[in-house]
Amino acid sequence: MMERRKFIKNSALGTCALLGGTSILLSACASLPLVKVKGNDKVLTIKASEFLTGNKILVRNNQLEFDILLHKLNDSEYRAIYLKCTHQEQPLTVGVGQLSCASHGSTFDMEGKVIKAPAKQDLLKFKTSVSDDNQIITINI
Amino acid sequence: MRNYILTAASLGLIWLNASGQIITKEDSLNAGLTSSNSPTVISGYGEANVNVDLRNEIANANLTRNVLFFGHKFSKRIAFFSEMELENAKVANGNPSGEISMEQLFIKFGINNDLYLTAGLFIPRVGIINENHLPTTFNGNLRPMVEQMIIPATWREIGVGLYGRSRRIPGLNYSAAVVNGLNAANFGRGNGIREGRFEGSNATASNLAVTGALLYYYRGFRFQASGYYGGSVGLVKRVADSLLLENGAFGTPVFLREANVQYQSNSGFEFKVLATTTNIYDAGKINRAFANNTPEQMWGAYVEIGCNVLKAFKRETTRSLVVFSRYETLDVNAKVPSNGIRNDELKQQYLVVGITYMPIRGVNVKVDYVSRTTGIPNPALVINPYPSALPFFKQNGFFNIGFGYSF
Repeated sequence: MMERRKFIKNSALGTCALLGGTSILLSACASLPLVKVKGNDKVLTIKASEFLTGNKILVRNNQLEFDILLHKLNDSEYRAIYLKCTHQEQPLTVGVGQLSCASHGSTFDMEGKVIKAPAKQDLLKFKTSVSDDNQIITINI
Repeated sequence: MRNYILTAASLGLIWLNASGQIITKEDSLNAGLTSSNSPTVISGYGEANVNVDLRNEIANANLTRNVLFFGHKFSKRIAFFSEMELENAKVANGNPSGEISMEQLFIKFGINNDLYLTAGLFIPRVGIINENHLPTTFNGNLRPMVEQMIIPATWREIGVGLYGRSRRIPGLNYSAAVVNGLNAANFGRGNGIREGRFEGSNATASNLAVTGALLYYYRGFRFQASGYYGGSVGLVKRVADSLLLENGAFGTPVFLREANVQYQSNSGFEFKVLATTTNIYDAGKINRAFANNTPEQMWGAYVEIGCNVLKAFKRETTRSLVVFSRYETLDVNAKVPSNGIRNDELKQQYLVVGITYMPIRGVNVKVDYVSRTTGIPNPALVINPYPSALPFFKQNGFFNIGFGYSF
């Protein structure tokens, strides 16, 4: 009977620690904006004004199985990385400073280059272009 | 001479033909021979090692494992994954040397881009090696002992898992799963809970387990905490009652907790640290029923540091030469119930130093030295002494050399 009490006590402490940690994380991190682009065109169009708080947004399109990380390098230059791990086609997590596969541990830098195995190939990058007034970004998928 | 030329030409044709028929995912991508969007993927990994026992002056050579991966994508959201493993090269009739087993076999159902379900035989997110067990991803010929004796990697069971990532907190992933429970009748005997795994083979599903993990990436760091809580008696109530054991979904529970941190810098420095503990609260009842010397508590921890020395000289290279050192400490008998027998041999420390050379991504060569320190085996556990048993050394050294690959 004591063991059950011990278990409940441990679980309660663990849950409190988990909730505490999550709260700290929630307060410390800014969420990554998600832009949904509709349509079946091979060219995705995004407004530059979507970059409200930071220099990265996620682009989601129903043709694609995974999101695209669109990284604003400067007003006229963007990098679009497909968030599909080249090891076993698992989704990648966008962290601070790197992209990671939670399933098998591969990591990539923000340019999509492999940092850590088991992935062997760099990430797929899509070509981007910007309108003359720097207001519209297009991604060729 | 003509026959040799004909034979060589025939072999060449056969090889060309085979190359044309069996095109792996990586080959096809590299050669551009097929579309990279092919729905069926063949892949694999494996390792071979030579282990030298320096005190007893004997050596062992083994093709430790070869794993074939087959996957198929039915649609954008539904995919099949499987890994079939052959351990120790050969499965002879009646010979316990080798083993063929399914290491994973599950269907993945994508719910949206941030969330998916798995159903089937899969590996829950517990520890480091369990999910990331490819030989090209860890240092040393042998997987860390803590992740063999305390966390029984590779630990797979049948169930349903939910995997997701948070957009609100970039870098945060989570997972939760319900799987079949363990078999307490096979616990103990120095193996902790390892032999109590079903691994997808006729598992009892009347006892269940829940497992969950939180994973967070921040710059080069990877933080993870996970837990497992599950029943270990899947017997009919009448039988369980006669053994004075508690059956049911979470009867006679096993509770495992684990946390780990990994770091990898762009300059080539890396470290990982892991700590885990397991409680089997009713170990005394299990011992009374099965006389298998189940411990009430066991724990283990390790820390590893490494440095890719090639990165220090040349940043842009796909080769790596990692010099590493790992210290492990574990106790499978940390707490033994009153009807158990303590065995100090199961209190162990390992110091591993070695190098891992990767000439190209996907292949590595490993050389390491392992120093093992243990307590003395309890003579009360030796019922029939084996006349030609090797002498036991509290302190022993092992030299290991081998290679690993994954593609």
